[in-house]
Parts: sequence; C-alpha cells; structure tokens
Amino acid sequence: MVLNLFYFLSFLAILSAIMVVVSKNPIHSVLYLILTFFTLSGHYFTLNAQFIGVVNLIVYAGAIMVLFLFTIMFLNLKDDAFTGSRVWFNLSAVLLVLVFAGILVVKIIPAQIGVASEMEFNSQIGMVENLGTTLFQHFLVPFELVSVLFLSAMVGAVMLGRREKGEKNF
Amino acid sequence: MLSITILSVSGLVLLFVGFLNKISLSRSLAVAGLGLALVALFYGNQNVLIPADMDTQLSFDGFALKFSALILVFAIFIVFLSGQFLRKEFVQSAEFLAVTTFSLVGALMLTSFTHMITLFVGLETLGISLYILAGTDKKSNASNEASLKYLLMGAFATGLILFGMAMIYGATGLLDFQAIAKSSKDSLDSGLFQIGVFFLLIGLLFKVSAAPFHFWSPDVYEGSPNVVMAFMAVVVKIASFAALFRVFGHYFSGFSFLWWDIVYYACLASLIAGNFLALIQKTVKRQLAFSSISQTGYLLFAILVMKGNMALDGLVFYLFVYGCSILVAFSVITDWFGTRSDITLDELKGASKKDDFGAFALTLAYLSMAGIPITGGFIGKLFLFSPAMEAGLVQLLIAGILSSVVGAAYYFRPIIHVWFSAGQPVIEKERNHQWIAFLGGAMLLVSGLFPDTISRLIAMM
Repeated sequence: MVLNLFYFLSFLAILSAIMVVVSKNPIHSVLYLILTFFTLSGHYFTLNAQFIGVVNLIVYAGAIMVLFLFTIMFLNLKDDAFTGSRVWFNLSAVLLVLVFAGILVVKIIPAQIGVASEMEFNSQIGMVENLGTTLFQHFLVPFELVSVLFLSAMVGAVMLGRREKGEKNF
Repeated sequence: MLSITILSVSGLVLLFVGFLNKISLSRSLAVAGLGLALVALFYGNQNVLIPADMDTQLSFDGFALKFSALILVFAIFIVFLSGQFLRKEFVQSAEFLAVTTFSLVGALMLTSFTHMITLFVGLETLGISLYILAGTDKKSNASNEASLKYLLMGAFATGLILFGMAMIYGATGLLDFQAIAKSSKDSLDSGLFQIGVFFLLIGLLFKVSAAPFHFWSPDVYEGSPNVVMAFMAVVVKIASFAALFRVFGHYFSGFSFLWWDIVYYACLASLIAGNFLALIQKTVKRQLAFSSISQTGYLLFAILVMKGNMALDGLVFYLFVYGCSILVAFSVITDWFGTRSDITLDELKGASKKDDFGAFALTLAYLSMAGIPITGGFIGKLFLFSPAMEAGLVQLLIAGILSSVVGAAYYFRPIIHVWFSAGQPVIEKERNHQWIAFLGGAMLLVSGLFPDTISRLIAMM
C-alpha cells in the first residue's frame, strides 16, 4: 500500500516537474510547480515527517508560489518575449539532461541503498519535539548562523529594491 | 567561533550606525569590527559564549586560522579601498559595509566547517551576500547584470553541491566529514557515494571558477564595482579554496581515486583557458578575471599534490601574494580612474608620465602575477610547483610553466602601455590609496626577496 503510494507520488512528481519545464505558458509552469511541491509533501508524510511536510506546503506551495504567480502576472510576459533561434539552446539542454540522467542511472541503479532496520527505527523522529531538540541542541550554532544569512539577504533585498530619489513608482 | 560572533554583531551595529549617514564613521567601525575579529582569532578563547561540551560543527584549527587570518586582513584593506565607491550617488554605504561583514561570517565558516551543514550555510552566507554586493552600483546596468548572472549561476552551483551532499548522506547516513572519512568500505564503494563526491566537487570547482566551470566569472567580475571585484578575487577566492582544500585535500584525501582525475583536468583546463583567453581581452578587469581563472589552475596544484602541510603552506603563501597583487592593482586603478568599471587597456597608455609611483606599483603587481623573479609571485609559484615536482606530476608542471610563459605575454601588455606607449591618459589627481599600494608592493618585494619571513609566519600559525 505504502509502496504503491510511493510510486504514484513519484510518478506524479516527475511528470509535473517535466511539465514545469515543457509548458509554454509561465502560469501553467507555476501551477505544475505547486503540484510538484504537493507530491513532495506527500513523500514527507509517508516518511513520517509531518512537520516538514506541512511546512513545505505552507512555505513553498503557499507563500512562495503565490509570490511567483503574482510576479508573473505583474510582469505580463508576452509570447514574443523569446525570439531568435532556440535550436542550439534546446539541443544542448537535451544533451545535458541526457548525460546527467545517464550518469545517475548508471550509478544509482546498481547501488546498494541502506535500509533502516524496523527494530531500531524511531517512528517519532520527524515529530516537532524531536526536530526541535535536534535543531536547538545539536545544530544550534548553524541554526543561529542561518539568521545571519537571512538578515544579509533581507538587507540586500531592501537595498536593491528601494526606490531612490527621482525614480518613479513603476 | 568568537570571531564569527564579533563579525555578526558588528554587521548589526553597522546597520544601525547607517542611520547617522556618516560614511567615514561606518567605515572606521567596519574596520574596527574586522580588526577585533582578527585579534579574537588568535587571542580569544574560541568557545567563550558556548558551553564547552557543545558541538558547534566548526573547528578553528591551525588550517582554519591561517585562512581566516588571511581573509580578515585582506577584507580590512578592501574596506579601506571602498571609500570612493561608498560616496558615489545611490550607493548605500551602511548596507554595503554590513553585507560585506556578513559575507565574512560565511567566509570564516568555509575555513572551519567540520560538518556538511556548516559548509552549506557558509557557502550560502558568502554567496548570497556576494550576489547583493555585485549589484550595489544600482544605477549601472552592468552591475545589475552581474548580480543577476551571479545569482543564477551561483544558485545552480549550490544546487549541485546540495545534490552531492544528499547523495553522500544517502550512501553513508552521515553528515560529519570526519565520520564520513572513516565510514565503512561498503558505503564508500556504492554508486551513490561516487555521485555525491562528483557533484560536491563540481559545485565547489564552480565556486572557485575553475575551467570548464568559469563562464560566469569574467562577466560577473567585469560588471560588478571595482571594490567588489577585488573582494571577489581575493577574499572569496581564499574562502572557496579553503573549503575545497578542507573537503578534498583533507577529509576526502583517503579516497582520492574518486576525484583526483577531475581536479587534474580542471587544473589543466584552467591553466589553458585562463591564460589563452586573457590574451584577447581588451579591458583591465576582464583581463584580471581571466588571470584569476589561470591562478585557480596554479592553486589547484596544491590540492592535487595531497602532501599535507607543505602544499598547504604553499597554497596560503600563493594566496597571500596573489591577494597583495590584486590589492595593489586595484588601489592604483581606483586612484587613477575612480569608480569607473569599464577601463580599457588602451586608457593606461602613458600613465607613468602622470603618476610614476602608481605606475611602478602597478608594474610590480603585474610582474608578481606573471611570476617574475624578485617578486612574491615567483616564489609562490615555486612553492606550488616544487611539491608537484616531488609528487611526479611532470606533465602538469610543464603545462603550468608553458602557460606562465603565455601569461607573461598578457601581463606585460599593461606594463608596456603604462611605461612605453605614447598617450595622454585621463587620470584623476587623487592619491588616497597610495599607502595601500605602497604596503602591498612592499609585501610583494619582501615575499620575493625574503620568502622565509612570510613562510615562517604562515607555518607558525
């Protein structure tokens, strides 16, 4: 049952990920990306990581994707935005993907992937309590340093996006 | 760890000091913060604010101290260089200095990580701050372009690194580098682990701009403001090399069969691509960008040799000398052309008539980058080549020496322009950064004539 669910979710995830790239309309791309995030959240749920699954839904499928949609509608992309020959571009992209996929298939399929033993597995591992304990005890320093990263990004966003004297409001 | 705390706090303070709108005050505070962090590196108890039994995933060992000290010293001089740029219209001085300080938090993490999470957070802190810094000249299209290009390329490289980390975790179930290095043979032989190491390496080579992953660097270097380019060429190169050396020269040296060939060909490609493409460049900054790619090639020697301390000290020495040359070159360029970022080589013609000291310093910097005797660059190359000689990398050495000969051809072009070409260059009268050029030039001569003093200092740390 869980295995079937895994295959179904994986199939949906890969299909929608391909559709993100293939779609001509950027809005469709974003909607497919939302579907991808939903399927990934499904994977998290089956792995007993409910917290990460919910956060993934709220942050990615919710907040970030809404921003994406908003920006795309705001920019009002036209069909003629991409002109000129894209044959070489497409050809090299396909080649790159094939090489990449080839390496992965050749290397991963024969690989011995470790399986968690059912006896030792802690089913509560993905719960908020355990996640919090890990995050605030074992990984406290990196966790705090991430805030420097976010602060830097925020300062940069405000600095680059700020309206200067003499500039119009769009 | 104390230095990282000091840098984070001083970045915060700089943001608030920005309300006063006093550029010189902000700059002095930034320099004070960096200086304090430098002192704390050596004299502070590194875990002063953290319980002794806690694992910080960072380790300020001898390796980290060498690279961190180098990073902080050069960062101080780059803040000194930034004065003219900060006074430019539409440049937010407080934010620039704060983001620079925050980026150094990432740089220090990259020298001292022991765990994948600190490596990744460090890479991102440095990376995201740099995407911002590249775009600080808001009114310049080139700067905006550089920022966006760097963001897209850098995010792609980060994706590769993360993918590699996930694969390594999948193979071993471990994230701590020490533990991975010791993990059982079975998990190391699996295809997952090989893919992980492969992508981690490719991503890090991307970050140090080794060929064939160098395409972003000339555009980004050319478009971003001069100060930021100096910062990227010096501080960021040191930090990324520290990360590359720490992962592959140190932790993963046990399974060199997985990555050695890739680094070998990347080194060869960087030497050839960097030196030959630099020959046809027309602007000063683009030429320096390609020269920085070729320098990456020389620096990769140290990782290929895998002989512990000797190669490490050679790497640090070379980074020091290269940093000094870039610093001298940019202090002279800033004095001559201000914050202009599109300086062609032809504009250097006859510059010695207006400013012979600057011309002399610039000549010294270029000679050092070319590796001409009596300058530090020659000794630096010697320090990198001689362990490679002992390790028997003869073909690579021949490629290195031949490409330095090609390199000399384009390093001499600006020198000839400055001294022997007739021309009336439009050079400003400002001589604010002469002391940096003097100091850096003196260091180049000292490291060229008395290399023992510098190398003993490096070995002592």
